[in-house]
Amino acid sequence: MVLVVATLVVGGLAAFYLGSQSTWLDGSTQALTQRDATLLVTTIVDSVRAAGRAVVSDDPDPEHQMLTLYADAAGTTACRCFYWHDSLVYMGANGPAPGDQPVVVSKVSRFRLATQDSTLVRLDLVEIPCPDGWRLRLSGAAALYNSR
Amino acid sequence: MGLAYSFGNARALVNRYAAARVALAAAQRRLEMLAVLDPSAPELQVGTTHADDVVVDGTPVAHESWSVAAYDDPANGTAAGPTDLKLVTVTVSWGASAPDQQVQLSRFFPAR
Repeated sequence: MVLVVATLVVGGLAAFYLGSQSTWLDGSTQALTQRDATLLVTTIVDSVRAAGRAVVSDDPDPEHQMLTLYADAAGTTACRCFYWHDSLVYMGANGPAPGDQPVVVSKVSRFRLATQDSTLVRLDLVEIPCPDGWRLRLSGAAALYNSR
Repeated sequence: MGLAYSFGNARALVNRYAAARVALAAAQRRLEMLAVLDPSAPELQVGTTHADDVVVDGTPVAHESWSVAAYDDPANGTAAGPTDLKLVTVTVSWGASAPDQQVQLSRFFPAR
């Protein structure tokens, strides 16, 4: 009888421990994902604000795009680019290069952008999935303050 | 029981922060979109209030509104009129729009 009760108590404690660990890990992962998403959007917004011209291109499809920024409105040499490759968003100087580093370590499942009237870059969708199936979807925009 | 309660609360906070980050990004997005408009645009007329849904990936996730108020710069008194600047306040709310389910940002815009 004592053995049965002890087994039940230990089993309950173990189940609670495992459940709480799962909740803890899921919550921590989500929090890290949220921070990465904000950092990614902020990094892109800061770069766009300093740029004069932006070009968005499919890379390789409309759900994964590349943003190329130029220093001024008439500029022909790119000064910065953001592109999706192998589930990560990378930042490069004037085009994708082997030494480029990802902006954040979180994997990005969709990276959709658009330009508007040569004065605005819209981040229509930054989607970052979590291991538990939850997905953070964020959007933003930044003005090209050097376009005039 | 206390431990389980605290874990549940922590998880709810994480979810709330997710919604708040989306709302903050939406508010910043709206201010940037207004920043590229001409000061005489209907969206920037003093005394007006505008509202719209925040749509992410085709799904409405929050509600946004922005109001435009005249701002008199105290540095020059009323010499150049009562509207030296426009104060645009963007409010993004989600859920039941309770006070802790809102994000509000303000920015000055040129009057003309």
